[in-house]
Amino acid sequence: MSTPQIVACIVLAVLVFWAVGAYNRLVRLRNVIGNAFAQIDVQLKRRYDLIPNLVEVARKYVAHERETLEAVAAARNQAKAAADLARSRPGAAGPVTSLAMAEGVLGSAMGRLMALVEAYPELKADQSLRELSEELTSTENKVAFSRQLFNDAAYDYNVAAQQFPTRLLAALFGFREAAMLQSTTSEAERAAVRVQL
Amino acid sequence: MRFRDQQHETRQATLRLLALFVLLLVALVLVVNAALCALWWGGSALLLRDPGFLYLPPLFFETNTAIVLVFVLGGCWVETVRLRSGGGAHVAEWAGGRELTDPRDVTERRLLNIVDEMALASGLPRPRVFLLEREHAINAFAAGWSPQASVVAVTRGALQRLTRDELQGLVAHEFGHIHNGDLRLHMVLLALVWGLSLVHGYGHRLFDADEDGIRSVPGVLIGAVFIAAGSLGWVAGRMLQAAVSRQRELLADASAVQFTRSRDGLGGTLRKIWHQVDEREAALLRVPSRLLAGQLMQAPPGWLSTHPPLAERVRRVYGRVLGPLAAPSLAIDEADEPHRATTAPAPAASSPIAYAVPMAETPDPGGTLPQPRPKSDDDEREAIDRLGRVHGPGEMRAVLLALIATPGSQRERRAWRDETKGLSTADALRDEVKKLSAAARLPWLEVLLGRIARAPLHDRQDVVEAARRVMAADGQVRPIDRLHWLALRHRLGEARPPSPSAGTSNDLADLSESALMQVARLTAFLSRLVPDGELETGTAWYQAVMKRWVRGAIVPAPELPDADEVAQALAVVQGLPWMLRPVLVRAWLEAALAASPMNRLSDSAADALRLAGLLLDSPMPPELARHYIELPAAISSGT
Repeated sequence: MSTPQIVACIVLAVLVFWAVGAYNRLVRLRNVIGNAFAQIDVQLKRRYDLIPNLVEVARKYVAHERETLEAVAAARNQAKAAADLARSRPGAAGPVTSLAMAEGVLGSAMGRLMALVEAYPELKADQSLRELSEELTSTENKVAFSRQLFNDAAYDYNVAAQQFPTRLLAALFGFREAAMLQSTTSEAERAAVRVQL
Repeated sequence: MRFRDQQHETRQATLRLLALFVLLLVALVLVVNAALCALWWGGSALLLRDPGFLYLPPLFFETNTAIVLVFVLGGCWVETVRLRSGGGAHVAEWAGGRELTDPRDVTERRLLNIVDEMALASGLPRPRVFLLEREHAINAFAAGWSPQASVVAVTRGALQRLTRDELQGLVAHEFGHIHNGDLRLHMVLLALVWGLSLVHGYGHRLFDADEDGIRSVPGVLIGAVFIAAGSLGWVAGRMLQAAVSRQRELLADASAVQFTRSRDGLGGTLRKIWHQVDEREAALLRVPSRLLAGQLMQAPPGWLSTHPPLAERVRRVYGRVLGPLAAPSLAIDEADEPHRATTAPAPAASSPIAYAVPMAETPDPGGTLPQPRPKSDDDEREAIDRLGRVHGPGEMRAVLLALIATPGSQRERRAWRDETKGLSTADALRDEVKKLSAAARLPWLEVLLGRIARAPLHDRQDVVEAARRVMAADGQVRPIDRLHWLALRHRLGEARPPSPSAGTSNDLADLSESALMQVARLTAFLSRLVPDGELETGTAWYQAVMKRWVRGAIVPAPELPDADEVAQALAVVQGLPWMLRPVLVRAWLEAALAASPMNRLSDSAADALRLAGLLLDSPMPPELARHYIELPAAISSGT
């Protein structure tokens, strides 16, 4: 082999190595996004499962505050139905909007329930209520953190896919830009359904 | 997005410091070469009056360079492998941690939830979680080589004194360390500093007299070059390592803010730790006679501290200056008293705490150059080998009892025979034990205690009882016997709830005069063995130790406590906070070294201090460790 041929071979080998590495990196980053999204779903489901238990415990002490308790239960059912709908038709705008609204209603109902807990010391001291509200707090946090992870992962992925020269590769293999979740990690939203004991 | 800027800034600073490490290595090579070259030329000019003045032997520079690099880099590699093999869980268990797998109350559940949350936020695998039951200060550490094998340990004090958000900040900080690969960096730098100390050690080997007590002139001169260059390199290495560590703390703080997207959690934790530190110092200033004042006053100077000042950390987190924050206990139900670990702690071969990255600075266990350890001769090595294979409960018991029996006492020997009746290998084992030198016996005892500690409680108690019978067989219980027996009971006995006098806080202000009394009692008891068993020198040692805490006041003469009083005093001192117990052991050791010729402890003094350290669950200071042989890793890991 002549010198130019050797040089050409080396350049080709470097290119192939780089391409394989860059491709694998993009795939890995994309998988992180998918995983983060799955986590959001898991934690939301768990949250819908916890709320009825909390209502049941509260009912033992404050059965007469029926209005608040039923508002929470109803809001939870609506939010769950909206979430199921959104899951069955991913990408459609309508279900996502109605889910956001249902979540808003659930948030304010939960806020009233927590105010109720504050007002009844014996309820606040209940062991299973404390355990449940710890679980609920943790689940709320996990929802927020997996949204945050989703956005961080989408950010990393987009930066990687848009930089030259990886950009060429991304275009070639159809790595499309990932969308970010909007207005999810704002303090206001996280605080709205915050359980504080 | 300030935290992203801070992360970028600290990463750059780390790179600059690592470049300085490389420069340090180059400088070390240059200095050694230059000094040896000057020596050679000077020597040949003086001795030979050689006209070939500028002649150097072939491969002169290559050899010098290779020696330095082999010691530093080879040492670094060996030490890294050793540190890695420890494993994070080992460190956490050593520090007295209990793994949280199934939580006992809401606060423990909360800690596990928070760890899950942070694993989500950081995108890392979930580490194993340990709780340091007996620690009442707010602190936490992460350990482990890789993110997959890392552990996070949190003190009971942190669970009790931090709100949920603050605890989240604390855990997020540890996740920051894991995320940024600090644990690995920390271990490699520690190993590198160790490698630098090897150059110094090599110099000592050349410099010191050989077995026949003869020193050669070239050996002394060349040795002096290596000693000087090695210790300068070591000091510079330690300073650089501390500087890197400070940058990584800031980076972990910034990462914690990134993970939690909240400044108040971590900020609150830092302010509470700050308050805790301030209170400790104020207590020392207010009452000069308080315990350990002298020790804590000589805090490490800024350039050797591994953590940035708390004021600076708080300022960076909040972007403005905020003061310390009081940290009352938030325990929801007081009925939930701290649970104690139900298993006996594993034996501590050396102090692995240095390889973990704590949240806040703790007293540095080792601050001096390591000294060569005693070596085993062939007989002893064989004996160690054979004893290392002992695993049956009966055999372990026989070896243990042989180790603590008073040598040369016929009656104790008969009692030992009674205890090991029916064991065919007993005499052979005893012969092996006899071959162990004084420097090997205690390390062995600790290994055995670690192995027997896994037996059921009933069997363990049986061993403790047998030991008592053997020791009392000659009608007298010598002080060292009592220490042995206390150590056995400590490691093998039933886990006892903390004694009522055990402080529930980490503040020196809470350390009562009565606790100081008990420290004095325990010290008086030890003075029968330290530094050499003579009444006069023992009293002097006691005075030297106690003077540190009763500054200005007159130290009362030691009164020798009886058996009950010793046990009582020990229980109180064992209840002291974990940061104080090692300081006490150090104080004993330093006073004993000062009172010993050539800085070398007598066998009985070294044994007494080692056993005392074991009783207080304190890491062994390197100055004490060098009096003992190092058992092969396969044996000391207890497998």
